[in-house]
Amino acid sequence: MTAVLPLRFRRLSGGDLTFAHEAGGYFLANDQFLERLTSSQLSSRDQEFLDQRGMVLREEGDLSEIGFLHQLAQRTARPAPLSYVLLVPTLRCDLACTYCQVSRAAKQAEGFDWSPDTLASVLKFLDAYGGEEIQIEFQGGEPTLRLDLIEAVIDFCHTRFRNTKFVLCTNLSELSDPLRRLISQSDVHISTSLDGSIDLHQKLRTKDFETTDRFLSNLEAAMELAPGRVAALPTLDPRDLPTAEALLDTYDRFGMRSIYLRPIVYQGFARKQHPQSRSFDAAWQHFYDAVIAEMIRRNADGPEHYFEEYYLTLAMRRLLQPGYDGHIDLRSPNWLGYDHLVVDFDGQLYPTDEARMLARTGQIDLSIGSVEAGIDNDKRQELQGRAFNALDPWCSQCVYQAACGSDPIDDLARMGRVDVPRPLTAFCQRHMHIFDFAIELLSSSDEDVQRSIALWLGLPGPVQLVERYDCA
Amino acid sequence: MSLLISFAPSRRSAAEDTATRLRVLFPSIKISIHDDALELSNIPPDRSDEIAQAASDQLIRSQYAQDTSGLRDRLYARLLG
Repeated sequence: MTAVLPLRFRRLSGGDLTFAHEAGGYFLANDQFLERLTSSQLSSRDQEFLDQRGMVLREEGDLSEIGFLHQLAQRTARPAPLSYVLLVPTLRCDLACTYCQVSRAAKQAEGFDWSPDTLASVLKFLDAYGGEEIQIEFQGGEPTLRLDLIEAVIDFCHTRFRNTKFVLCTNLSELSDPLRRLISQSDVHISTSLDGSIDLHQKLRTKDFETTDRFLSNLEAAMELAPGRVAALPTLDPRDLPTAEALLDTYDRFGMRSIYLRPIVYQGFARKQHPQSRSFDAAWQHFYDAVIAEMIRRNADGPEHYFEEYYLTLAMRRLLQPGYDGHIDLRSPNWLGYDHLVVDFDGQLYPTDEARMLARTGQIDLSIGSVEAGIDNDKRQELQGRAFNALDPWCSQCVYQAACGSDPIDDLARMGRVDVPRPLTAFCQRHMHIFDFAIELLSSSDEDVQRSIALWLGLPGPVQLVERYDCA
Repeated sequence: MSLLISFAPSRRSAAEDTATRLRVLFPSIKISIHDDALELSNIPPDRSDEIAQAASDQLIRSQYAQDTSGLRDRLYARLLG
């Protein structure tokens, strides 16, 4: 037998066609190649091109088949032991952002913190289900309102786990002496919010000059106390975006150059106050492309302090590198409730933070147990039905299926169901745009683009990573 | 306006798959399956090129997916032992 691996294709905006097999192997070609491929009339040059890339099968068990199957196996994420836990010691918060995703409670409210019994159960749960390493993210509400609970968890983890990493997600509206001492520890990281420009941050989040000024002072102090361990994320309203230049200037001011560009997520309070966030937004798409173009322009000045967009780099790695499964929103199968768990303020367990929010807003209870009772395996199993994108009738014809993932929780949040045809989901639309953009950059002959890609992917120098097959 | 996308009568199954997908992607377009062609009507003139290209690509995609489904199944069977 001689057969070409089944290929998929997609037309890019400029007319080029992206091709790949089910495990990746991305390249660009044209309509003439597509015509020859689908009519089984490949030229000897076509055959040679595909053969050199391990895409021609000659006999069962040959090197091309083994190589393909190995990549396919690597592309298939396996359930892993619990290694990332998101803890919500309190739902209370001292800010009231309109796009808050988490149905926060007021700072003075009662009954929204872990009880002493819940804390004890959390520690027992971590002991029972954890492996040798653990990463814990403290979320809220504003978790620093209960530093005592955070310190109890950290102290326990230092005795129980060999390797630990803690991420404190805080709005940095306060930086008390105990908090300063906490973030001075080498395994404690800070994740905060910085909404594009100082003006936007004040408008959307801190509301007045005094609170904004305090946040900025606290951010600078935190960066001195925890050098290299402070990161910030912008939450951006597609109807009120900063310019690309203003956004990068703001992050540059604080020496932060890896930015995760996120529009408002259609969760929690944002569902009522930002209903347009339910859909993928064309304005967001243009803004995203403009920021990347500005990053590439600035990166051309030198590699010392380069900018990157976290999710674009992730998408590129997913396109090129089988087995790069670190991000739970972008992997397939997306095993829910295995390596990543959320513990809410009342001790309930959720597979993701978005699942917690759906329960908080009363849409659907996706809890999979509690720290007291443990994981409910039957409920967890029910969540896995849409985990594998290769089984989806739309994804199984998609050129990006190997690199993409599955996020049934996001579909539930936006559409109220998980069986919506993929192209109609915001998840699919957003990722189609990111992958198209990534392929255009990876196949670019522009040296400035290639230089940025080398910096993002840790390569020694500029290179065109997705080949353009000249097959006229 | 209307468009005709021809197919070989033996490829009717792929044409039906194409029509199903196009109805999802372009819900305002009327799609009929004839013996040897898909007829797309009610197309806004300013989107005719885009829709014609999408329909043509989808027909190729559906045909090719059917042509290679046996090989895909065999490869998955090999993967799963």
